[in-house]
Amino acid sequence: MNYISGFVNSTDRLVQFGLWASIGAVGVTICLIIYIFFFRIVQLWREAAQQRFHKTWRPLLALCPSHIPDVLPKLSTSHHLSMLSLWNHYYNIIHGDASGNLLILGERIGLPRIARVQLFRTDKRHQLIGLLTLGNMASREDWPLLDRFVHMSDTSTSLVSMRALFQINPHRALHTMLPYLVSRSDYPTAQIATLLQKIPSHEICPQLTLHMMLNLGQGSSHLLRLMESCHCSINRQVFASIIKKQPDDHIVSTALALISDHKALDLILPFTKHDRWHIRVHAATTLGRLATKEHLPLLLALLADREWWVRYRAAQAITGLPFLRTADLIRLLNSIDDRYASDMLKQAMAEQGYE
Amino acid sequence: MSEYIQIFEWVFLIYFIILNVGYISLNIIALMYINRYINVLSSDSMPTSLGGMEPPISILVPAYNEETGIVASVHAMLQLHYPEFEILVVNDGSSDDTLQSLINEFDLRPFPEAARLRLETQPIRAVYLSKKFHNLRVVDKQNGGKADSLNAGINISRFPLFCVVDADSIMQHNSLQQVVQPFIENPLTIAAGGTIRISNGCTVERGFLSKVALPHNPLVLVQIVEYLRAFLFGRMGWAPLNALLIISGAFGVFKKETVIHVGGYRANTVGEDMELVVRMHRIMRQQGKPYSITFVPDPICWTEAPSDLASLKSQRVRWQRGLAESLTLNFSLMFNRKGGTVGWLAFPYMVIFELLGPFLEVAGYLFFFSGLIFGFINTDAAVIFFIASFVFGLLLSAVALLLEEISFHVYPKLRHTLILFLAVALENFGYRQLNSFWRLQGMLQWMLGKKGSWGNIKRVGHEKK
Repeated sequence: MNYISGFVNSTDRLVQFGLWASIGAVGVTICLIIYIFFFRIVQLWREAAQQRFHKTWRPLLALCPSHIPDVLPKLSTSHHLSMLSLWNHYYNIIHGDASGNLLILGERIGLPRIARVQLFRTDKRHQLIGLLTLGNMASREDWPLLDRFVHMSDTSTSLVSMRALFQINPHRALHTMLPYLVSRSDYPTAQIATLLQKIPSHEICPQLTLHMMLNLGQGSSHLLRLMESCHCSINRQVFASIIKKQPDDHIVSTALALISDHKALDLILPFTKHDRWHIRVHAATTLGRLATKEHLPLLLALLADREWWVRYRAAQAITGLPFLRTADLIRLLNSIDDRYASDMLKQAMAEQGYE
Repeated sequence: MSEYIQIFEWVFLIYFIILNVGYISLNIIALMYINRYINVLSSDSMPTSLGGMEPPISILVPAYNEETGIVASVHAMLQLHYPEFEILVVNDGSSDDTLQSLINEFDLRPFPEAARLRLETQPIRAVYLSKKFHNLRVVDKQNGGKADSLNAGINISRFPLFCVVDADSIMQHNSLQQVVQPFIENPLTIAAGGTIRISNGCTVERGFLSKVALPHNPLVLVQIVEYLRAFLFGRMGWAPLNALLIISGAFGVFKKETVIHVGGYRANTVGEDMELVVRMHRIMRQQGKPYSITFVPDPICWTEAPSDLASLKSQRVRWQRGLAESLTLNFSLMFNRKGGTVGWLAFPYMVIFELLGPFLEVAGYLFFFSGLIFGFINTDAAVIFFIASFVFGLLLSAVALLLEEISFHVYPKLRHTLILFLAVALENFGYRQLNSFWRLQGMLQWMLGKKGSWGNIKRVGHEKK
C-alpha cells in the first residue's frame, strides 16, 4: 500500500504520467469486461427468446401449406423482424400452389402492415426485409409506395423495390419501368436478368431490342449485356445498325456474342482480322456458332493467332463444329504445322473428351 | 552518462506512446467499420441481394510434401458452395507421394494443357485433369518455392479471379461467397483477404469445422488472442483507409490481370504474400490507377497454429524476414508523393513499429533490466512503465475480444472469453519477450541474407476420426 502511495505522491512527472495512464487503461479495460459480460447475458436472453419464437412459429409455417390453425399464437412487437425473416424463408422454399396458404397466413398475421412499418425505419436491413415481404406478398395496394423506393439512389433498396414491382405485376412493371431499369447502370446485369425471368423471352427481347435501337449510345453496352443475360439474340439488321452507329469496341464485341443470324456472317468476317484481340475472340466464338465448311480456313487462321484467348476460342469453335467428326478433327490436327495452334487444338479436344 | 540514459528513457517512452496511440486509433476505426459491416452484411445475406453475380474463381493450392493431408483438403474444397470454380493443386516437386496420392484418389490423367506462360516459373513437368471432377487439375512442376508454384498456378488458371489457399487451410462452405463480395460490390477491388482463425481445439469433420472450442495448450491460446488482435483491429483498422498491407497467404483472392501486371509473386522470398500486396499498392499508386485492397472480417478460414516453441519460433522468424523483405523491396512507397494513406501512414507505421520494433523492444528490455540491476534508472519509473505496458496490452486485447463479441461471436461460451482474457494476461510474462527476440532473430537472418524455403510447421491435426 505504501508502495502505491509512493507512486501517487511521486514528484517525477514521468511516474505520474505513467500512473494515471495505467489507471485510465485499467478503468477502460474493466468497463469493457463488464460490457462484454452484460452483452453476453443480453445475447443469451435474446437467443432464448428467439428459440421460443422459432419453436412456436416454425412448425406452424412448415405445416401451413396443408393446414392453417383457426387461432394463431400472439406475435409480440419484438418478434416482428424475426417473423418477416422466417416467413420469407418459407416463401423461398415452398413453391407452387402450396405457397397460397402461406400468403393467407401472411395476411392473417398482418405482414403487409408490419412490412410497411419497416420501410420507415432507419436501419437498412429493416427496410430491405420490408420491401422484400411486400413483393413476396404481391401487395398491389403498395405499388405507389414501392415506386417511390425504386427511385432511391441506394442500389440494393432500389433493386429490391423493383423486384417487388415485378412480383406484383410483371407486365405492368415491364412497360412502365423498362426505361428506368436500363438507365440504372448500378444495377448488376444478372440481377435484372433474374427480375425479367418471369416474362417469356419472346416478350422481353423485342422490347429490349427496340429500346436499344431507339437509344443507341452510351448505355448500349449495358443493354447488350442485359440482352445476353436474357438469352436474346440479334439479327443482321440490328447488328448492321450497331456497327454503323456505334463502332465502339466493347459494344461490337458484346453484339457479336448475340448474333444468331447466318445472314450476318458477311458482317462478322472482317472482325476476325480486327486489331483488338478481344474482338477477334468474340468473332471466333460467333463463327463457332454459325460457320459452315467454307469458314473453316478462317477459324484455322484464328487458331494460329498471337493471342492465347483467340486461339483457345477458335479451338473450342472448331471442336464444336457439327460437321467435323473425330476422324476429321484428328486429320486436321495432324495437318497443322503451327505448334501453338496444334497444342491449343489438342487441349480443346481433350476438354471435349476426345481421347 | 545520465544524459544518455535520460535520452534512452524518452525514446522508449515516446515509442510506447505513439505505438499505443496508433493501436487505439486503429481500434476506433475498426469499431466504426465493424458496425457498418454487420449492417451491410445482414443486407447482403438477403435472398435477393447479390446472389448470382459471383465471378468464377480459380483456387490455387500450392503443395510441397503434403502427402498426409492434401487429399482431405481437396475433397473439402470440392464441396465449397460456389457457382463456378476450379481447383488447381500445384505440386512443387514434392519428395514424398503428394502427386501419387492425388493421382490415385482423383483419377488424374495427363492433360495436354496449352499453357499460357505469362509469368516465369520453374519448368512444368505435366498437367493432370481429374476424371472424377472436371474442375480439378494438378500441375506438377520442378521445385521452385511457394511463390513460384503460385505463379505457375496463375499461368494455368482459367478464371479472372484466383484464390490462394494453403493446403492445410480449413475453409467454410461459404468462404468463397463471402470473400468475393468486395469484387462484386466494387469493380475497383484488386485483392481481398479474409480473417484467419486458429483451428487448434476445434473439431474438424470431412475437411470442415464442425465444433468451435479452445485448445488446452496455453501457447496456442495466446496465439488465438494475437490473431484476434491482428485481424479484428489490425486489418480491419487499415482496410477502410485502403492501406491494408497484408493479405494472409493462407487465404486471399486476387484479380489475376492486376497480379500479372505487377509481375506476379516474387520468387525466393519468404513473405511472398505480403510482398505482393505491398507491390500492388506501390505500382497502382505510382501509375495513378484507382484500386481497392480490402478485407472481409468474417471468420472464413481456419488454420492450425504451432503448438510447440520450436515451430512457433520458426514461424515468427520467417514472418519477420518476410516483413523485412516486403518493406525494403518496396521502400520507394515510403513518404512517396503519390503514396496516399499507404505511403504516408501504413508503410511508415510498419517500418517503425513492425520492422524496427524488435530492435527497440529488445533494447528496451535490456536497458530496463540492466538499469534495475545496476541502479542507473529510476526504479519507480521502470515499474510504472512495465505496469503501463501490461495494462495497455490488456486494454487492446479486451477491445479485440469486444470486437469479436459484438461481431462474429465465434466462441460460444462465456467461459471461452474468460479463458482468452486470462491468456492475454499471461502473454505479458515471457511470451511477448520471446516473440520480440525471435523477431529480432528474423531481422538478423534477413540482414545476413539467409535463403528462404517452404515454411512448414509441425502439425498435430484435429480431424475427427
